[in-house]
Order: sequence, then C-alpha cells, then structure tokens
Amino acid sequence: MRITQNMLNNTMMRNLNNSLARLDRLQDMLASGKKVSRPSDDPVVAVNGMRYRTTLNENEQFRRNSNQAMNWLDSSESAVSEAKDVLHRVSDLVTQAANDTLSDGDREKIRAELIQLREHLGNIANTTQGGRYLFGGTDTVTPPYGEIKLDPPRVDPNDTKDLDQDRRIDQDKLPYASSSGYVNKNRENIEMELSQQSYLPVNVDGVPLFGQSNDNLVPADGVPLLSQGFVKVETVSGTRGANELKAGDKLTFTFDKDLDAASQADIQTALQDAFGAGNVNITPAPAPDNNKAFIVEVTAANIDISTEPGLNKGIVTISKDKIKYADGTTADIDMNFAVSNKETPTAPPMDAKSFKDQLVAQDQAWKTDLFGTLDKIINELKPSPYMTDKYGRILAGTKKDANGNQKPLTEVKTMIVDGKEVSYIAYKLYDPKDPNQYPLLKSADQLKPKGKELTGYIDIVKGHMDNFLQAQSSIGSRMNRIELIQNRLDTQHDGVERMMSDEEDADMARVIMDLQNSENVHRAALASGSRIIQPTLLDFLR
Amino acid sequence: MSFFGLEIAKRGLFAQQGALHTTGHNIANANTEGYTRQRVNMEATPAFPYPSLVNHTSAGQIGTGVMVGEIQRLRERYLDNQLWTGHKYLGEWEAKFDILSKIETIMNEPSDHGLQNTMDAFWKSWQDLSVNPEDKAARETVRQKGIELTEMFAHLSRSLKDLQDSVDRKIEVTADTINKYAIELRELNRKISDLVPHGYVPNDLYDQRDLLLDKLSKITDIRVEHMKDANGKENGMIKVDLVGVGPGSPPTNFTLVDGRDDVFGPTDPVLEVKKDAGGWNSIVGKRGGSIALSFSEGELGALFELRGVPRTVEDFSSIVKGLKADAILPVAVSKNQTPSDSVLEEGDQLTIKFSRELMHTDEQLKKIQDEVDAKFGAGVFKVETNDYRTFTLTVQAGKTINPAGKTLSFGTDTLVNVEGDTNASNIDFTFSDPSAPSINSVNVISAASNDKKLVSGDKIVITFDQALEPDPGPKDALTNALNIAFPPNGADNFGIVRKDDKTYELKVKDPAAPTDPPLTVNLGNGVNITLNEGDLKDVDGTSNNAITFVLSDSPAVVTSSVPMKGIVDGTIAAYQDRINSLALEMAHYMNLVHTKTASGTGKAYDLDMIAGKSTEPVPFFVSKKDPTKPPENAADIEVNPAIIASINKIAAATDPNKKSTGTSFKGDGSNAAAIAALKFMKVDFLSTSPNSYGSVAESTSFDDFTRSIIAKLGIETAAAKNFQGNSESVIQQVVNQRESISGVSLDEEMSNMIKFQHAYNASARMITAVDEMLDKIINGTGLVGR
Repeated sequence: MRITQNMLNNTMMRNLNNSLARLDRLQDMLASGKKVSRPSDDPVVAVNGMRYRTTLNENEQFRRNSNQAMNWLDSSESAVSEAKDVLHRVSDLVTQAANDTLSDGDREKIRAELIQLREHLGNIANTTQGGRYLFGGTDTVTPPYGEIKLDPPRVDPNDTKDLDQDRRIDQDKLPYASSSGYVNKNRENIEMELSQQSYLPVNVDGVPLFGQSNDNLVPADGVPLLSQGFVKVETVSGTRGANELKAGDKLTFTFDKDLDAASQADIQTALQDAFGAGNVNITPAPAPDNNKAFIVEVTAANIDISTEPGLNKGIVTISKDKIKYADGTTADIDMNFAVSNKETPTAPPMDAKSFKDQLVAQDQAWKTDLFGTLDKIINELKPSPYMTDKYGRILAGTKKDANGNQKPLTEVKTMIVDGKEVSYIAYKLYDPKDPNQYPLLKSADQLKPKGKELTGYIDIVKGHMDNFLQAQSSIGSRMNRIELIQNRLDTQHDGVERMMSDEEDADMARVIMDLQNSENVHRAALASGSRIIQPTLLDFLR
Repeated sequence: MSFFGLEIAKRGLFAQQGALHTTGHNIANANTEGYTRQRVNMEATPAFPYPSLVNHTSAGQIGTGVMVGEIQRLRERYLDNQLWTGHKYLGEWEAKFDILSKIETIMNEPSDHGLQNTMDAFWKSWQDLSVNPEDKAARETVRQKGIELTEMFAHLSRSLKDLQDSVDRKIEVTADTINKYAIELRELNRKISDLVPHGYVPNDLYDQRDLLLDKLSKITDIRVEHMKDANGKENGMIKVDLVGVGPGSPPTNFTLVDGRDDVFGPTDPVLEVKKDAGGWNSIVGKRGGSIALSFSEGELGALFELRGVPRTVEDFSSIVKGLKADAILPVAVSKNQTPSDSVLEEGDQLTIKFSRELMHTDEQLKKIQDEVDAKFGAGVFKVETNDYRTFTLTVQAGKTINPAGKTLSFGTDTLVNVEGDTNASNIDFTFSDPSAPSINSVNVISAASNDKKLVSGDKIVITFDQALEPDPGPKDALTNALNIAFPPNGADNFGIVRKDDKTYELKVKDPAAPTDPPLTVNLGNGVNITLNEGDLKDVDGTSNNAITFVLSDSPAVVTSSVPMKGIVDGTIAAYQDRINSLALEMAHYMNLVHTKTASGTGKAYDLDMIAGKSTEPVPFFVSKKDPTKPPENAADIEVNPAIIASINKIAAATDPNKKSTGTSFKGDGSNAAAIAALKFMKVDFLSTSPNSYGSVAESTSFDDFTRSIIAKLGIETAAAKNFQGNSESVIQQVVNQRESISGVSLDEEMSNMIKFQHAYNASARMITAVDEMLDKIINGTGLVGR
C-alpha cells in the first residue's frame, strides 16, 4: 500500500485526538470524583444516581419529620406527667378532706389549694411546643383551656340587691365557678409522615384527659335535663305556627319498657286528657313496640301546644302511679314527655332508650370532665345553698309554699341531634327580672358536706389519673416506635449512600492508574509522531 | 537524418520538463483539499520509418523519442462512491450527537440543580408544611419552591424550544449550503462541458467537483451519475440526485444537478426554503414546479428528525364523506329512510366527524351550526354533539333535504381543537347521496397499480363508519362476499385481518412456496363486493343496510392530510412532550388534591377557609395566560396568583370529621401530607403527541417518569456517540484508502523530480553529443591534407 504524508498526518491527528479525549474524560473523573457527568456516559448509572439522590432526600425529610414528632411527644409527655402529679396532690387533698373530723376552716384551706391546682391544670392543658398548643387537636393556634362563654350569663348578685329577700342572691354563698375551662372541641390527630406512606399521630387528644367527651350533646346553656320519656314526632311539613299541631300529625310516645295491659289503658286515657278530648286518636304503635309505645294522631284541625290546657306548655306528665311495667316493676318517678311539632331525626335512628341514656350521661358529664370534677369537689367542700348547673348558674323555682317547699320551674327546650331538633324538658335558669321566679334552694340535708360523699370523689379523681397514665403509656410506645423508625432511617441512609458511592464514585486509584497509562500513550503518540512526520526525502537531498 | 538526434533530445527535454512541471504542481498542491495527484503518462512517439511502398528498407525501426501521452488524475471512482455512501451516516450522527448533548446540558442531570432535585425540594416543602401547617415560614417555602418548580419547567421547555428553533434555522442554512454546492456543481459542469469536447482533460475541475460532492454527501444521500454523450462516451458532466426525498411511495429522487442545467440561470437556487403552516422551515425543490421534499438521511435528515416534522393528521377531514349517517345503524339513526331514498326527512341524521376533539365551547358548535345553516338553509338541521368530535345533524320537523353534493367548508383557522391548535388548511365535508353505500373509504395499497389486478402483498383497507361486533361475524361476512365476488373460493386468496373495530385489511396472500409465482387476483375494470342487508352487525347489535363497494386497481379514496399547527413529532419535540406531560400531570394531580372536595377523603381547606373568609380552595398551578384555567404546557404553568398574593391560600388542611365540626384546625397538615404523598403516587402519563412515545398511558411515579426521560436521553446520546464514532472510523478508512491512491507523497514526488531531472539532464547531454557530432561533421571534416 502506498503511504503518503497526509495519511500519516491524519492517523497521528486521530490518535492524538483519541488519547486527548481519554485524558479529558479521566481528568473530569478525577476532578469531580464521579464516574459519570452526563447521562450518556452511562445511562444506567446516571439514572440510578438520580434514584439514590431522591431516596436520600426522602430519607433526610423523614428524619426531619421524626425529629419534629419526637419533640412533640417529648413535650406532651412532660405535660401529661406533670398533670398526673397534680392529680396525685388533688387525690391526697380529697382523701384528707373526706375525713369528717376536719373543721370547716381546714376544708376551706384545702378548697383554696384545690382552686389553685385547678388553675395549674388549666396551664398544663395550654402547654405549647414551638408556639403550638399540644392539647388542641389540629386547632393549634387557639388555647384549648380558655374562657367559657355562657348564654345566658350567670346572675350578678348586684342585680338582685333591690329585690325582695326571697329572690335576692347572697354573694358569699354563690358556688365556686371558674370562668375558664377546657373549651377545645377539636379531637383531630396531627399526623406526621415518618416513612413512606406511614403516618404517626404525634398529639395527645386532650378531650379524654380534660373533659367534654360527650360534648355534642351539651345544650347551649348546659342545663341538666329532666325528661325520661321520648316523643318521636312525625309531622307533615307545611306552614304552621311555631306551636301548632295540625290534623294528620303523628307523635309516638315511647316508654323504656313494655307496660302491662291496665297501665296501657290508663296511659291512653291520660294522653287523651292531655291533648283534649276529641282532638286526637290514640293507638298502640306497631309491633314490636306495641306494648310500650303509643301513636297519637291529631284529628282536630289544629292544636296549639302552648295554650292547650292539658299540654302544660308542651310537657305531658304521666304520673308514676299510672306506670306499671309488664315485668311487674313500677316507675320511681313521674315520666315527662316533651311535645313539639318539630320533626324528630330518623337517621341515624335514635330510639327512646339511647336518647334517654344520652340525657342521663349529660347529667353526669361532670364526672368525665376534669375541671367539672374539680369544681364539684371544690363546691362540695363549701356547699352553696343554691341549686346550680355545672357552670354555677342558679336554677329557678317557685315561691316557697306554706310548708317551705319549693318546686323547680321547667320548660321545653330543643337541641340539635344529628342535624334535627329534638325537644326535651329542662330546668329553667333563674332570671331576676321575672317576678314569678325565685332562686331554687337546696334542701337542708343537701347542704351539709359529708365525708362519705367526698370519698366517692376519690375514685373519680383516680379515674382521671388513669386517663393521664394511659396517655403517658401511649406516648411512650409512640416514642419507642419513632426511635425504631429513626434507627431504620439511619441504616437506610448509610446503605443508600454506600450504594450511591459504589455506583457513582470513581475508583480513584484506578482513575489515576488509567490517567498515567493514557498519559504514557499520549506521550508515545506525540513522540512517534514527531519522528514519523519530520523526515522526508527532502531532508536528505542536497 | 542529420538533425534527428536533436529532435529526439528536444522531445525528451519537453516531455521531462512537462513531467517536472506536473511534479511541481503535485508538490504545490500537496495540501490542497480534494486535490488528486496527477501523473504524466509518457509514451514513445511513433517509430521511423513508417512502412510504405516508397520507403527504403532498413533493419528495424528507429525510435523517435517521447511525448506526453496524457496527464492522468489518479483516482478510484469506487472509493468515491464508498465515501459518498458512508458520509451521510457521519453527517447524521454528528448532528444527532451534537443536539442530544445539548439536550443533556439543558437537562443538567445527574446533578444537584436539575429537575429531579427541584421536584424533590418541592415535595419536601410540602412535607415540612404537613408537619408545621401553621408555620408561615413553611408556607412561604412551599410557595417559593412551587415558583422554582414552575420556573424549572418553563426553563426546560423554553430551552428545548430555543434548541428546536436553532435546529430549524440550521435547516435553512443547510438548504442554502446545498444550493451553493448545486450552483457551483452546475457551473463546473458547464466549464467541463466547454473543455472536454476539445480533448482537454480538466483534472483540476474534476477535483473541485469531487470535493463538492464529498461535502454534499455528508448533508444528504446523493447518487452521482456520470453523463454520456450520444456515442455512449462519458462527457465529463455529472447528474446528482438527492435520493428518496421526493413525494410518492416509495419516495422518488430529486435531481439537484443535471449536466449543464441550462434551465437555471447562473445563480438560480434549486431548493427553496419555505415556512409551513406551523411556521417551520420546509424545503421545496424548484425543478418542474415546486416539489415538497422530505429529507431523512444525512445531516439534513437528522436535523429534520431532531427538529421534528409537522404532524399530518390523517383524516382530519376524513369525515363521513357521504351518507345518511350510518348504513350500519339504519333504524336508530335514520328512521324514515329507505335504502333507495335520497331525501332526508324529520329525524334523519347526518354525521360529521373530526379526527380530533374540538375545543368544548359553544363557539365551536355555533360555527358548525352556522355553516350548516348557510349551506342547507336555516332551521333545516340542528347540530348536536356529545364529545365535540362527532357532530350529528338532525333534520327538523317539517323539513326535507337531499344533501347529495353539498359541502360544508371550514376555512383555515376557523376550528380549534382541544389542544388549542387551529386547522391549518380547509376542512371540507362533502355529502354524497344518502342512498349510496356507507363504507366511507376503501383504500387499495397496491405495489403494481394500473394493471387491473392485485398480486401477493397488495392490501385493501376497508373502513366502516361504525364499530363492528367482534369477529367472527364481520370476517365471515367479508369471506362470503369475497367468495361471491371471486367465485368459487376467491376468499382463499385473501388474508382478512381486523385492524381495529372499524377497519379490515384484505391482503393478497403470499404463494404457498417462496419459489411459486405470486398469487394474482384479477380485477378487470372493477369488481363489486356486496355485503347484504343483515350481514354485518355493529357493536350495539344493529344490522346494516346493503353495502356495495368497488375494488379497482387504483386507490379508491385518498384521505387528505392536514398539517396541525405547532405540533411536530421529532426528537426534541419528544422531550418537550415529556416535560409537558410531567408538568401537566403534576399540575393536574396537585390541583386535584389542593382543591379536593368533600367526596373521598375530605375537602381541602386553606387558612382563609378555616377563618371563614372563603369557601372554596384555589388550584395550586394555573395557566399563565389565564389564571382561571389549568396550564396548557410546561411553559405556561405558574403558581396561582392568588397564592402568590397570599400564602393563606395554600390548602394544608382537610375538613375535620364531625366530632370537631365548627372548630378551628389550623394545625391540621393532612392535605399537605396528601400532596407530599403524590411523590409516590403512580400516575397515568398520557402523551400529548401520540407518535413520540406511544399513545398508551404509562403508569409510573413523577420521579420515575423524570428518570425515564433522563434514561432515554442518556441511551440515545450514548448511541449517537457510538454511531458517530463508528461512522467516523468507516469514513477515516475510506479517506485513508483514497489518500493512499490519490494523495501526494512528497518522497515520491522528490524521487520523481530527481528522475525527471536526470532524464532532462541526459536529454540535454544528448543535444551536446549531437552538437559535437555535427561539429565534427561540419567543422572537423573536409580538411584532410589542408
């Protein structure tokens, strides 16, 4: 083959170019420490590198989240533990107070300390972490322990000073009532993502600890309830007055148990009397309620609930002597039914019993409300002569009769259950402006503090302590879980970093060797080039 | 014979001098690009004496010296052809590698500043928000990272668009280069044709021409033909064809240079660069009118592939070309229609169908209604649609109409499809006689047309206007129809393949053995194929009216292609498409979660909603053009101006369940967590451009999708780099071989120089010898005895 200068030239240039390209690549590796700098260097490595990098980013984020979660739980734990200690002290004090040998003065001191402890528990309920309230569910910006806004407000004793002696309120004898309580209703979990798609609630639900667990049944004015019977109202809709029942309306009166036959007849008569003769048609309800429920169908064109004499402004009372159950037992008290023309909720169905149960639970709500319990105990240590609701509002009664007996005043009220109005019978709150009302007073034997009764509160306080213990153990187990997750994240982080390094990082020793080799090759190419290119025949011609 | 020696020596001097001059020419041009070394071929002049009757005879012939026979250009035409064939691959892969590496630079992966990292940072900001939902700083971070992400998308999209534009400009420049070469080649052909008839061999012009061809062959695939004169002798001129760039199937060649090409003036370009409807450059050949050229090879082919060619959408206007709506659905659609009745009555329907969904606006519907009213009279038809693709025209009460021959015409840019593109050319719907057959297109794709027959491999495509029931029903019907049309067993010659629920392909089968002659189906002047009433059923089970169509040797219906504005299918476009998909899907799912309504896992709540200042969450990503709409592409995406204005609009919470109704829940980060969890969600990515990576949904996470973009890019670039290297080696090899034959070797030229110099010197010495001889004769003789 004929070889020309240009061929040599081209070959040398190509070789030099190739070896320079290799050097460039190796130098890039050496400088960056990475095997690949562009995806085309090695698509698989490049893409794996991206995957590892994003995994590391996730990992870092999850570790950050878990630290945050740990902080939450740490703060919650110390708050709960502190509350528990406070309750210990409360329990000690109550035990001490239960001792009937204590003088009123001693009990007064205990009462003063309990009031302080109550306020302290309020502060604990408002514990914050980084400016966020720990016990407010997802409402982390509003203090969960705060002012209770009452409607209507408490009676101001000053408003009563010009009144007749019987209607006047004595400032000193008012029950203890704090204007603050655990008002938070938010029970949502605050969840943090600690690893992919794995969420851990980091907050402690304050409601079981501090109270108001059955709070969707708390009436706006918090008045205890009297009603035991349940009336289901099925009205046909249409324009009607506020208290008007119209022909065709159906009301079901339901008792808690099956009644015997005689009792059924008596009750039917009583109902007939209440609604007025000829106004209604009464039949037993269909099976299986046929022995305990009665359907009252309005036949008169209209009945005004507020003015119909037998209806007593909406309260139908069946006296206890008329109630005889099929199992032979009798009722302890008169049964009161609230009559209204508001349709009763049907879905979810609420039967007479569960409605009644909830009303009873409502009456006992102070037991599950920590602050309610404390208020009760505080008031028990220095009883007020006035009957009040749990917020210290005085109930209304009639004027004392000749025997000094007073009757409570009641009224039909409504509350919303499952989006529908339900009627119930409630005590009236004392309104000094109403000349027919008198503050409802306790009977003499209700007034005396009794060690035996105080002893009963110890168990309730212990119950609250248990709640905090439970919360503490739940926090503890969650912290353990986070620690496990953190360990795992650390291990994963190291693993991914190692894999990423294996995949992406250049093997320095090898690169340097390669660089040395390539450099040698390059030198050789240059040297051989200089030898081959230089001499031509020209050099040897004279 | 006295001075004969001088003559011989003189000839020697001249010949050697000529050879020395050529050697000098070679040395001088040793480094000239494209130069081919030349060699003086010397030959002995005719010997003396020449035999004739009157000559005296003597022993032998005396040589008369030397002359320059020819100056030969040492070149191997075979190697040229090899170079020209291989060069287009080098051009193609060089261009591809160049652009793909630029895309790599744009994508900037793997790095800590690429798209992946920006996305990671965005998701992380949501994670942080989910943990600290009431934290203003966390909200601010979400907003900033959202803006960063949109800027990243816009940057990628814009950079790719810029790259695409620069490739488009390069197409223009390259076309100009071809023009320049063509003009020079033409000029060279003209000069050569002036010289060759006179017996000159214009070696240096040939060199220049071959050099131009070398360069041209890198740009596209060329075929060079050496032209011959009337006697079959090469006349030195060449014809250059650009291979496979013309229209037709298979594509035809376009002649770039044809000899003297006197139809063109000295500077007339052969190619012209035009802007197509989408504003992209396209190349038109100016020989015998304007011929649209499409390049697929070489650098120019690569540039077109990279930039992308405007997508032509088959049958954008291939509507039901004629018809009472559907022969397949006679009862449902045309209740008063009898097959022979051309007049439509109340309740009868016509259907027109577009190849793509139109924008769902009343305006589009009104445009169609207006056009229908204009052509058929107001109130004749009511136009309705469910999907904005198929529009039904229903005859109104008391009206009758024969639509045969009427055309609905929608001028350029009157219709807008869902992607926002307008039609780049007219869309016409011509209605035929309603009683005419209902098959709307029969395509015969035949290799051998106009010979009244079909042979093995020919295909007939039948398209029905309704989706048919699954096989075997329709297949059996077609088999029967073929057996009747080509008795007795004509169907045996056809393979019947269901392409989709509306399309069947009849393919003439291959012969049983490869050595057998191909099967032939004679068509004569056309064979009627009839599907009787009730032979076919559509997917709903409704049967057809009788359908007859004609098989002839020429394509029956040519469906028109309409270029869609702004959409191109190509390498860069494919990446743009993916970035668009990613951005749009992300915006879609982000907005879905960010504006979640009560159904499912609860309604999304922003701070303003929690505070009761507003009732609905806002979308997170919106269109730059119109913030009330979702973004249209990656460059159009922005964080909702409402969120830019107030971080309260970031919806980190979901509505609480019943137990907390009515309470504030600013500390709820569950919606932020749900958004952060989108990172891991599998999403169906639909391509906005069907040809770029398949129209099938890819179900994968955003991260995976991003990685798949990079993987594809890496693999493509690496392949381009490899191919470039390979073709470079091939070219190097050929160039070396050519250099070996045609290159100037200085050593050789030096030795030649010495050789010729010596010969020259010897010839000169010969003159001295003859001179001395003559001197002897003239001055030294006749002096005897003086």
